[in-house]
Amino acid sequence: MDKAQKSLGYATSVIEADELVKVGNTNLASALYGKAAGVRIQGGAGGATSPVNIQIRGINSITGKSQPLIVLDGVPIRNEEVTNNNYWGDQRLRGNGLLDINPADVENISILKGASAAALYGSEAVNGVVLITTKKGKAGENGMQVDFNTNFSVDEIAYLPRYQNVRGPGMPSHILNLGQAADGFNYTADGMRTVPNSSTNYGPKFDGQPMQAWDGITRPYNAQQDNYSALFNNPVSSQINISISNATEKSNFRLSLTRQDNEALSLNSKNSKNIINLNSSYQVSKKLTTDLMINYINQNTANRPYSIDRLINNFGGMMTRFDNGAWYLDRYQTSRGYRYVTGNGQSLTPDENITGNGFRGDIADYVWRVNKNQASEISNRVIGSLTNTFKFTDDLNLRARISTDFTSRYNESENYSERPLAFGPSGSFGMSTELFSILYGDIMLNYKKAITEDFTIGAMLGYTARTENSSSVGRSTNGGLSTENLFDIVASTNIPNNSSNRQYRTIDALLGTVNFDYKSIWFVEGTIRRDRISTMNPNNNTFVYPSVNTAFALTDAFDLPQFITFSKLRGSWGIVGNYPDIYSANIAYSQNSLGVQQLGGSNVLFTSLPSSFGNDGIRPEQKHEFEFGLDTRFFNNRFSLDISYYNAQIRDQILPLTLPTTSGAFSVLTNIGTLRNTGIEIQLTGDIISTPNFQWDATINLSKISNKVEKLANNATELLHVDYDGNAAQLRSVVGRPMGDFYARPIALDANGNQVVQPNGLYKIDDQKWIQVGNAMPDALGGIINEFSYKNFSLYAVMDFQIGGSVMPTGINWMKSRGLTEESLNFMDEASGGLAYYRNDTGQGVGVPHSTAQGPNGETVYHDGMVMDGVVADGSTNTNVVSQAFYYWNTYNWGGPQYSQSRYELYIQDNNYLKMRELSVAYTIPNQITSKIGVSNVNISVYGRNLFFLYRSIKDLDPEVLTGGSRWTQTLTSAGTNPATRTYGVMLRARF
Amino acid sequence: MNFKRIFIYTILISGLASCSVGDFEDNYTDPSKLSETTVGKQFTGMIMSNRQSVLPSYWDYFVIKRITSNRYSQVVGWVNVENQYVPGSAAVNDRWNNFYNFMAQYRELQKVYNGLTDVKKEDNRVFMIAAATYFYDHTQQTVDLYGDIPWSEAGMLSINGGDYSKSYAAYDEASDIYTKMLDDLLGFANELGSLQINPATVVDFKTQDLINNGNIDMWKKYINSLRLKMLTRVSGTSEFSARAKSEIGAILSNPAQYPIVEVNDSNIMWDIYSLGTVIGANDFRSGLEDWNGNIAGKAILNHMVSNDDPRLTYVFQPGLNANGEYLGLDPLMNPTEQDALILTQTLSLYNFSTISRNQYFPGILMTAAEVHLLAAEFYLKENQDAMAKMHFEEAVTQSIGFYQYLRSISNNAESIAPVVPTAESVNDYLAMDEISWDAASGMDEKLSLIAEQKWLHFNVIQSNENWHEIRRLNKLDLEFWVDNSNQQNLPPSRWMYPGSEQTYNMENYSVVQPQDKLTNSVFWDMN
Repeated sequence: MDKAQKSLGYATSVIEADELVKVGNTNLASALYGKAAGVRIQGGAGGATSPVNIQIRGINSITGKSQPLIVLDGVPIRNEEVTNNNYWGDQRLRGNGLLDINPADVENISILKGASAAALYGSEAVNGVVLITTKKGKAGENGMQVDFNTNFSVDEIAYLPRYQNVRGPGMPSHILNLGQAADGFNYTADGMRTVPNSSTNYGPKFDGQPMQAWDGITRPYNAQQDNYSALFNNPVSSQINISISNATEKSNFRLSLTRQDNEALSLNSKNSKNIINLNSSYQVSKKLTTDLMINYINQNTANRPYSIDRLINNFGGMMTRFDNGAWYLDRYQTSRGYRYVTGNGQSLTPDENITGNGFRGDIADYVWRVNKNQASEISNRVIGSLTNTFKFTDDLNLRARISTDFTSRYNESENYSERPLAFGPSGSFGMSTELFSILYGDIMLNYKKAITEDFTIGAMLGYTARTENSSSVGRSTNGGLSTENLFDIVASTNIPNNSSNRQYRTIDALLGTVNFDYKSIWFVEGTIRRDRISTMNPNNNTFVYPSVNTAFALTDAFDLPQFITFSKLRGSWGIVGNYPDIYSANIAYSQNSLGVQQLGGSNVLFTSLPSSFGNDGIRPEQKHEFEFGLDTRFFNNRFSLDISYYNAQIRDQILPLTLPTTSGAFSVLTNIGTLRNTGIEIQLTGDIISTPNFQWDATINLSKISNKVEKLANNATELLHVDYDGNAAQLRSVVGRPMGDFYARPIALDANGNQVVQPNGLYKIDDQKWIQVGNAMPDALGGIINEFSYKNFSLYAVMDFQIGGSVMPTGINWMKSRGLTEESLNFMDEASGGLAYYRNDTGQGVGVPHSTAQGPNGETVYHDGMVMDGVVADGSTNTNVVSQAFYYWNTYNWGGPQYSQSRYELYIQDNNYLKMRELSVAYTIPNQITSKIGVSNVNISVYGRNLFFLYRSIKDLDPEVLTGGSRWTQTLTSAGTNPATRTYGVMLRARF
Repeated sequence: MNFKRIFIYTILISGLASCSVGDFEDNYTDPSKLSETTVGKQFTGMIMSNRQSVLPSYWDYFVIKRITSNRYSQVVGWVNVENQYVPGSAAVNDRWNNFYNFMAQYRELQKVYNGLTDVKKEDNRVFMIAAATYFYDHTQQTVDLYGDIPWSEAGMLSINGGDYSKSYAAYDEASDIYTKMLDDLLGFANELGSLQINPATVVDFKTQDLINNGNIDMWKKYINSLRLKMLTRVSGTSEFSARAKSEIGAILSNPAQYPIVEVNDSNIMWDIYSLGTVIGANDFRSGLEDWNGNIAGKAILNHMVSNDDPRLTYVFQPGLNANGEYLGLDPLMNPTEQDALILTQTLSLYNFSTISRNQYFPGILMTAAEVHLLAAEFYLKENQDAMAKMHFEEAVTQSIGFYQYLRSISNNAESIAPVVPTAESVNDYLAMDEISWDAASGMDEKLSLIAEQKWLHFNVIQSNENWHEIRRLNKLDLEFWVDNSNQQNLPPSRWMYPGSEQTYNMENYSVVQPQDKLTNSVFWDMN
């Protein structure tokens, strides 16, 4: 064990290069699933360009940022937040800066979790730090060493809802009159069976007989089993990486070139990257060393994945069971290339107009957009750092570093003309440029001195500074293209739109540390840091915070039993400051222009005060954390156990306090929250079997997190995060509970506590009450990693799991209301538990035995009945039998009690799962064979990612598609990002 | 390599990287925002903040009016559904929040104004009179929905310097709010007559005034007409009846001093001058038409059809499959049959071209027809029948003219061309048994005529005003389906307070909680 690790007084998790590249992950973060205790990864659906969230030790902010700081070779890099759940704001799925880091260039990742670790990195380390160290130059056997690896993979659409394949579109006629004939089918004027005009799927059973679809084509009436996946690609991705490295006494370097081509499920979506990484170190003189790191990422993204929000979170876009994506791909454009036209709409090809029933305009619109709205991005990012270390003496050195993370992005959008110019201009063109830059510098003076043989002290004094700028300028056409499909600003029909945006942030800090080391048995380190930041009021923008940590090597201090190879106790305490989001503290007016508003008038300007009020007096929030840990290794390092306990309290939490609007704002920025995260992290590793021919290594890590909102304001007991669907459900944080409680409307109860059933036979929803149904914070998470090797073969498997953490995938539940999923088949007939009943003259369902042929007055007997357990208004037991179609249609509908009788409490479910995340089978060709052609370490593998669930509590989706943004509240409800995928690939690695 | 070089490197690097105090100060503020505003700009901002309640919006129509006033006044037909007489919580919350955001902008205007020197205050006085008038107009709308509301202490967060603990607002009694507004408006009416406005302010006010384009005479008419409306609203209460009588009398007898909106040319409206500004596209179409919110109610349509109302073809249009026949939806039918009837597309709809698809549809604040009906009621109760009749008939004429005006500014021609009213058709209408002033006998019947004309005039385009007057006058015998599933089995008498008050303003809310029932009347509702 090296001394640096031994002296560490706080928990870190280190993931080595080898574990990052086994299954060809396109980015670093998604290679971390299940690999570090206390680290939660959430990757958005959509492929290589979709964001990945990292959460370390739970969430440290009730409403603010929760992503850790990413530090690449000592310098912070850009990792912006994204929002992918706001369809009307942005239809394409954005990614974050972390995606640009190439796993193939990484030597290791170490994750710093606690407050004590943050002294060096400042306020953003409040959410933890991901330290990425890139590969350094190494000498091969004959000097220069060349490494090569390549992989090729395919994705397939996965974890779709369990669609039912029994019934087609429609409704029983006694529930909804859609003009059905007696046999339940609809017929055209000339007697052809045709689909009804309905988005529900409670219609007649599939029978294979001819049926006319919306496109006028008659097909056998069968369930269209893979109808939805027909809207997506079969993506193929590949990656090639070559690196050259060498090292001499005076210098070393590594140069690596990577080419990635990634396709996504979303049609026409493709991302290509060229990555150059140079890492070099040169000893200029005995005293001076210069390190240079340059990471250049050139990226070309055609059509970021298009959000499927309109197909999931919208009844109009839900494909019925007798409909098919392929039919839309045929008909979304006319033979002249214009957008499809429905009904009697204006068209140059009126006979192509779509007039049949069952056509879903939102699907056709999606298909048009995904094919004819083109968006390209070219981005160039340079992350570079130059470090000079000057050794004054053996005891004293000075290190100065300057770095930049600079990205320039150029975006273009070309939306094709939707109709002939004669019918009015359409289509659009837009172009914009964005610049992001971080300029970072630090200077550190290090001193280390052995006072006596047993006693060494060290000290460091430093200054760091950082400025972050971002700006964007864009122009776009206004009112359509004046020449069809002429993609330029000059084609703008009206005066072109323009937009611009700027943000600046400045941070600096003074820091110092002192440490001592007694006989390499006891280590103590103390740090102090003074931050200054521009997002705080300039009169009060500094904050000083300390930390201490200590490590004590038990095995060196005491005589422990032989089988304990090494054991270390560690403890730390620290404070980290954290600050408001950019510009959120400052109170200022928004201004806008209305143009001229009267004949001969002048331009009208107006201002308004935002409804979220700032606060010039905001104080930094403080995270106080202590932690203890024990790191023990047994039997000559064959087994190890690492346990940590932490307890972090975040005081003076900066958050927008919800106000009654009668006070003058919706919220005011305040320092009023106290949040506590406590947890235990355990990591067990073992070489369970270790024989020359067969090895089995296993790692299990587990973390239990409990989170509690300890205080809000003087009187406030809760904070409202989101109101869903017109008061149907709410997400709140309540004092005394973990944040993120889901609330929904309960079934109304009468004075005796009985559930009330309405005259229509469904439960009455109480629109005056709320009940807490679930909580969004997971209780525990972790991973299980197994690696088996037999001779030259090896099998590597990573599983990750989560226990608890409620989500509310509304769109998936709405599918039940439309009769799309298997659950909607329950009670549909006697065999599936349905009751028999007839409808009496008041429309009430009267239960009868299934053998009954007809009601007393000749009424039809139905067999799809259900009875709600409860009482009716007069207190008597409910006996009204209702159709299951009526029940599902209404119970899983959209909206709060004002709009519907949906029971959102049923939508909220715990998200427990155990997933096979990574699986790889590899064969290493023996070196004695390959060395004849000058090659070594040749390894061939097949692998898979996101292969299957061993268990999941939510059956109709992969919960990760809910990752609609960087903040936790954006990862709970919308399944409308993109479908999940499963990946299979092959890989070849070799060294020359 | 020597020390000098190292030193230079170090200086260079720290010079590049170190930050000055100025950087921190500059970067504290968003470069696209303003630290200061003017009375004029904030005045317009205040008006803009309330635009969704004035200019027809999806939010106001679909979320709110579709399930509340439109139904309670039966100006639309709808499919009966359980619990329909409890105002939806989304509607109640949104209406409330929108009003208080508007109030916050008004308070900010007061704050900016109060920070001026005395001379500057004098210069900007006209803005404050106009702002208060507009604010009071919408305060009345809100009070008439909820009853007592936080008002005199509300919206103070910014004035209190962001100290939220001081800003939790107590509830004012509705009658106190009326008293204060009536006192102030009387003061404005007198003050505006003699107000000297300096030329710079004239120019500024003309630009910033989205309502009357800086026309002071129009503001006078707005103020006095609003007084007339408020006084009439409370005239039935013992507290206000004497005041209402004397002040309405003073207004109507002094047109020179207290001008009112007498003809459509002086209607107080927020006009759409041009499309495509940040005011936003008019989404009246989806607001009114979505979920079949634009179906004609049976009672109102039958009244218009059977009396050959000259407004009929402006206000309604026959269903797509109705062969030109008008048909309204009966509220007493059972829901299944109502649903089936809607699917036949034979029910009449609110006119696309005049109303829902008219992108130039204005924000209506006060119309001549409304003012004349208020005057008719006053004279009727004063037993001046001839004056009452004159105003009543003028109201009908102005209302017909108003719908013609709305159609004339429309940019939509999807509905069939309306039948243009003639002097003869108007006179015929006024002579109809159900309309004619002279045919009605007694105060009660004549008051019913006024109530019906208000209903016809306001219909769906001012349905909140409609519901207020229906509750006050209680002359329309509208029959409603009785909802046995809910203890609120008929339309309510007021709205409940939003849940946010109970959660976030508990201490003050607890004072009004005992009265927070749907069956409690607003104080002016004497029925």
